[in-house]
Amino acid sequence: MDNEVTALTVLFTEFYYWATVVIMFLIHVGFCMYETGASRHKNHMHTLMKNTMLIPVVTITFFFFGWWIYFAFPNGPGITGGLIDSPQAEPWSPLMGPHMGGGADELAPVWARLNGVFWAAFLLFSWTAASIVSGAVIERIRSTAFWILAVGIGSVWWIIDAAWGWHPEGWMVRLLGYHDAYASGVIHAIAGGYALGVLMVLGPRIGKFSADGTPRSLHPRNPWLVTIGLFLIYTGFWGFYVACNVPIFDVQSGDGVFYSATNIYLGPTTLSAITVNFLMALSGGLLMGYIVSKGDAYWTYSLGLAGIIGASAGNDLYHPILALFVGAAAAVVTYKLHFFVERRFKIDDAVGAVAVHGYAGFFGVVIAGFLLWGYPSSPNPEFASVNPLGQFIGAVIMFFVLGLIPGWITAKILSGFGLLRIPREIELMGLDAAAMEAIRRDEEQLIEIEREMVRQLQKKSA
Amino acid sequence: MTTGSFQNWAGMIADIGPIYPFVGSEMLLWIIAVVLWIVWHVVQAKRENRQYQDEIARFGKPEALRQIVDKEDPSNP
Repeated sequence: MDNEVTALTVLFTEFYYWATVVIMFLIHVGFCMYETGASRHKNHMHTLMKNTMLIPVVTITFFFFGWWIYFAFPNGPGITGGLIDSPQAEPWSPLMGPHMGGGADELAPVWARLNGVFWAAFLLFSWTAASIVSGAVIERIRSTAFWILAVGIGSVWWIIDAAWGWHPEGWMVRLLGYHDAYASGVIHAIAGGYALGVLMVLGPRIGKFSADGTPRSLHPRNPWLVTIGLFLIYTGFWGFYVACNVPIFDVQSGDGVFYSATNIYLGPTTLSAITVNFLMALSGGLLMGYIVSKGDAYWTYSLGLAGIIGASAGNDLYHPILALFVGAAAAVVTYKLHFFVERRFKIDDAVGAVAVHGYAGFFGVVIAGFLLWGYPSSPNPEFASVNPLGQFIGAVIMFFVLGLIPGWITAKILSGFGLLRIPREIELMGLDAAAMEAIRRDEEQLIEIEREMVRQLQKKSA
Repeated sequence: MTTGSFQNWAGMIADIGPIYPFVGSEMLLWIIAVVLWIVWHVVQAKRENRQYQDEIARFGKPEALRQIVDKEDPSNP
């Protein structure tokens, strides 16, 4: 960094991504509140710890191999080429640690500054993917199983789909014209599909379905915690959106220079565009969600999120009113499909995660194929342009091929070893039974001490 | 003695590469960390199994379970 323009560009980009990581942290705070509020009192602590501890297991595995997958797998490998040499992303690379940029590698000055913040931004997406699954499986999954599943979705499957459909050179972008600027499919459809695959093996909570198969409503135990959690997820989502952009990049091909913010594919967009579209899509989801759920607070909030997720694939390019309509349509699709799948297939998705993320994400990818038909999928003019068939195939790859199937297979293996579901007695007594018993004993001791003090005071006053 | 690959900030900073200690040991650190990660899952799985066995022994009898379920009933004073 031997001149001021380069230094300012790189240091601004470094700070920009650092800020997105801080904001995105709120997504996880929100997920923890939301999930704990949806669980029964006897499962609160276990539910909280299940989600909290995905942070370290996904973080370390994303360092061990996840980050490398993103740079090494854009060709498949085996579809448009082999593995791509990615020395800066190998976990033993000096550029993964504190580094001043010196050395023989000409990209070292840039990677030394940006590798860590890029890694962290992608890592926060990984947490989100795992956290989406976490909510669906509450109150009956073993922590052992969930944390293995979290490593699968957070450090393997979603980052493969990012290499295929989000990397500027990904084979899906190149061959299918796949466009998914803010991760309708890349994060949400895959995580929703993965959760559905796990739920198919895990089964419903005790009492969710009556003997004739009619579903019962197990309402959130703490609606305030749930809705404030969803508000925090909205807040963290701003960081998510911003992290999907490159803040300053020369987008002019050939002669000349033109600096702009770009989407994840390095195609030009503006921060203004995504700011307006985020809010309009949220509004579409909330307005329609309020109507279809008949004013139910839990579902109205959830469908606001579904509105954003549904519009995300094309929110770098949509007109704001289009984002509003897509968000509203996503809310209807999400709500109707959730209850249809619950009734028809007896799937107990405890927080509606499969619907809000999976179905809304799938819908968002497909609808972008029609609304952005003919648009360039990336700045490379040799790549396929956006089209409905390419987007539909992309949505199927995200939801089913990299989501549902790996989730189902992993859950089957864990179930085969007796590691997936908690014993029935534990489910009845609650996952916090021993902890609650210890708290009760401590409280009793404390109360006994207080009673003794009161007795002494009574004696004195007598 | 020094554990780092540089001893002061004098000279050309642009020539300085990694600034963490024990440069060259990254692969070894990675192997140790991966092994410890796997060990953590094994230890955690055993601990969770043991915990469930203990809890079923303490609270898993039908009468004890009935009392726990009764406590959840909001109509139960």
